[in-house]
Amino acid sequence: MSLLSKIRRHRLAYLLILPTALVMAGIVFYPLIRGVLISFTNMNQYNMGSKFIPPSYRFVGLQNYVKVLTSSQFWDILGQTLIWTITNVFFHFTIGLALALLLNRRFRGRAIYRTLLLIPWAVPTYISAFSWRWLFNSKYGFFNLALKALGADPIPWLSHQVWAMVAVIATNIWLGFPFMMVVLLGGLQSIPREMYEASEVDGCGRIRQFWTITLPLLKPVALTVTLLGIIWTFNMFNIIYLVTEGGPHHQTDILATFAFIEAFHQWRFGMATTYAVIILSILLSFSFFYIRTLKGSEEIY
Amino acid sequence: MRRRKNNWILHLVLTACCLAAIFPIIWVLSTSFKPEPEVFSDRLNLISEHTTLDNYRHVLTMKGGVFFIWLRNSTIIALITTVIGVFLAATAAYAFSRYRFLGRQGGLYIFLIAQMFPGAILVVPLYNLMRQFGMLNSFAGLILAYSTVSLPFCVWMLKGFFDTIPRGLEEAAMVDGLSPLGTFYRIVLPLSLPGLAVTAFFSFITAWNEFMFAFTFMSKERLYTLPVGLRQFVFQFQTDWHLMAASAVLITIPVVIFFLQTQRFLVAGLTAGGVKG
Amino acid sequence: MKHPLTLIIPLALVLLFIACGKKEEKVTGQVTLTFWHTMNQEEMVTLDGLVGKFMEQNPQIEIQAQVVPFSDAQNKFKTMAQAGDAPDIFRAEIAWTPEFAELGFLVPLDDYVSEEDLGDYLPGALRYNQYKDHLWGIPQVTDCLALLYNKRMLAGAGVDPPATMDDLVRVAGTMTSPGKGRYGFFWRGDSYWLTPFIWAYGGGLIDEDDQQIHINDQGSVAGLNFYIALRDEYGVVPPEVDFANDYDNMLVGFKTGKYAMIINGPWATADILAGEQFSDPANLGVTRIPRGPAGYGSPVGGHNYVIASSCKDVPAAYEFIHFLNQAEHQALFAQKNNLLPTRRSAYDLPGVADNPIIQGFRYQLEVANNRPVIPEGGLLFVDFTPNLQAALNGNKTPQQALDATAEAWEELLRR
Repeated sequence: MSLLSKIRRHRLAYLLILPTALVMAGIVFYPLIRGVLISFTNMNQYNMGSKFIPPSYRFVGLQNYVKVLTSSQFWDILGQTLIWTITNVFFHFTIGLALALLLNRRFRGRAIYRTLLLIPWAVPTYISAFSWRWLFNSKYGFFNLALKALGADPIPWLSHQVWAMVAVIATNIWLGFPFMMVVLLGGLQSIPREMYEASEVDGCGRIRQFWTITLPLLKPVALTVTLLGIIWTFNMFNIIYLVTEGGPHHQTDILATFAFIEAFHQWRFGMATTYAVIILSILLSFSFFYIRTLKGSEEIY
Repeated sequence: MRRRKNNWILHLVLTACCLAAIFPIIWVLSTSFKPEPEVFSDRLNLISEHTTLDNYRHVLTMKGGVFFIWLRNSTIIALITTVIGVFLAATAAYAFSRYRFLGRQGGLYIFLIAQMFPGAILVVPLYNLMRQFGMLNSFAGLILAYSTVSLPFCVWMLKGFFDTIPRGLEEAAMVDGLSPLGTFYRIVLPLSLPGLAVTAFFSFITAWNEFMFAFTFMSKERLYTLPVGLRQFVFQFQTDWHLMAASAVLITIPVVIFFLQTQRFLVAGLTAGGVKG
Repeated sequence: MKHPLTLIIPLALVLLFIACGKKEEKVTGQVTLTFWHTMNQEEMVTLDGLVGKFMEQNPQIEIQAQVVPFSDAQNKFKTMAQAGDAPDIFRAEIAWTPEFAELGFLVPLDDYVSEEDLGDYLPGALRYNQYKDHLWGIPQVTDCLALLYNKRMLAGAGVDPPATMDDLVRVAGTMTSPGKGRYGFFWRGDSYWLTPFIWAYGGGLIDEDDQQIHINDQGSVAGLNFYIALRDEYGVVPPEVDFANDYDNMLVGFKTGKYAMIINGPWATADILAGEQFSDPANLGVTRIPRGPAGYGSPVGGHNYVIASSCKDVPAAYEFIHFLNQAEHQALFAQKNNLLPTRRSAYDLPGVADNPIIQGFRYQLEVANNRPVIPEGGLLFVDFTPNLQAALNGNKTPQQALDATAEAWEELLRR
């Protein structure tokens, strides 16, 4: 079959995708490609050019990459990024799945539970982040006041290397589980009831049903949302930025917060995009590996 | 008998989870009713002796009720983003799910890549781009930007949902004389209502809570969205907690209403499972 | 089959029509100027009154005042200015002014500001508008850090406010009783709050003339050593740190009588006076931060009015900011919002001259220090604070922390 006829055969498919592709091309891929190019320059606010000053930034080759990858800090931050991502996604998924399974049953009042459990997702991020910072306040925060009431020592939540990481991760788990829950609940609801009925006729128990029906049919949705969750969490900078500002002493920083700090302070876009491209490369190789591993059973594609 | 006991445990677990989910917000709620001097205190008092509605009054009436203009802006932008996002994503996801066309895998991968690059660091070039197209200070520009934020997720998600729908149903409908698009509209969409609901929530909340694009692209106060307008209570050294808390509550209520209104689709399940069409 | 879209689409369309309803009208022959600021709710009340008064007196000029959130105002202004869309008039934090000037976003105001005004403005506040031999703005409000103390607590312990750093240790010591959670003093893990100690011990930040970095000089290290000794050796500040919340904790502790002395600026006094310890405002004392071996130290801060290079009518814009900055209008902000005037003449006006808080800060201002007036000025503390936290947590020695800061600043100055 010739290329042209292949394309023609699926004319409808292309037509269906076209609007989405157009929208994405303009607002996502233009900056992406631009960003990759900028990472090879020394662009910042002083040389990027404006209506009043012509641009004067120049090509610097791999200089930004060398600088980032040879700094000892980079590897610490990468380690923190991995801890941050893996812990968050693990808890998002397990909590989300457990709640979705509970809410998938029919019982009185589940609409109310569903709505209440959704609230962490519904509140604007900066407000939740500020609230959590208050909860973690060493003197007046809820956790330490509760510890005090129990007779335990207060914990320096946001000022200690380990506790600060625990605190930001706890905040983000709280923020992210409702999304997982809703998606997985949607997935569970799409599983035809007839399949359960049929298996009951065959004498399958609940646990058996979970492994033979629920999990396999939930897999496409679950695998997709986990992959997206990993990608998003890796790039989730605002919680850390608002709760600890990366402190104490950069010990809760992740790669994305570094990229944003470079971009926001004096617009050092050369460096910021270098971090962004490194993030992109890490996630790209991970996703490739992830999809390859799961492709055998045609779960994702 | 066993069933009732199970339900009792179920409610206990869910109640505990709900408490964990809302307790940080309880502080926001309690602060929103406190007069300013009582916001920070070394005592854990949830209900102040001087409970007041002044904070809400201030937020709702400031600058001649500009709050309601922001509310209208946010509502329009979030709803249209939702409609566009769900519509574009559904069509694209259906193609990805049902047709083995050239560039299919690449296309899917490209949607993923879009999520991997923290594109928001390039808001300045993006501002200039939007400016060239005359999309600054316009709802259309913001809606477009939000659609791109939510589209990759929606496409991947809906593809996952469409994949779980048995093809036999569509084939049967085609045999009955329905066109491919007719099959999509009459058979596939109704069957994936939970998936559509998920993507609708996602699009809506993304647009409703977003700050950076709205702040960058909208320069006139009357065009602000709620998160941008209400951020003015954060200052260099201090935050007007009492006002911010009241605005946080006000900003969350519409989302809860939206969710309550649309969640029945999330659990519509397969009521259409018999497929009468 | 009822489809969700069949519900949402008509609803969205209806809303769209409402949205497109109104259009703004324009009167010809008039200038409309946009003015962006970052004032808080109470300051805005004062401002709105003045804007109204100005438009009454100048019917041909319409001012559209708009508030932008402080945390994002700098980036917003730059983003718009680089495309030529900036608001005509902007209230810029002092550190932003040289940066905007360097980027070509501002109009020099040398030809507009009169000799008389130049003589009346406080030199420290005016200094932040002078960059590369031009004047890029006029100072709206100034501030500095000063020592705030609870008079009743000091009197109860039979001590006077400390004049020297040695006094600080002694005075704070008499009021400290860790068992009751009471401390004579409180410091923050924020480098802006450390600067008074850096200067008092003979250190410095950056010399703006020769770009020499002084943050790891002997004097600076001595200042940081003393700062840490206040906790580790003398025990007059709380032993635990909470970097993300210590600003709020400092205020709550001061307002509830847990800490007898703190360091803070005029912006905090309204909040402090609402606290239980200060129901009688006379209980709040404001004086100079104690003198160290090398003298006094306190960072001058504040905001300037600047005019964007894209401004359509610079004379009209200057007319407006000059109006806002008249002595009696500054006095209004001082009376109502405890803002420090930038004009000498304003301090002698009734309502300001007899305000002990403002006069206390003015006393500190006489010996306060300018931060370096360089485009990078606003970023100095971004690299400084994490290193201070490392020193306070014991991850780095004071010398190591300040060396690392100096290294980061070198990088910053290299652009």
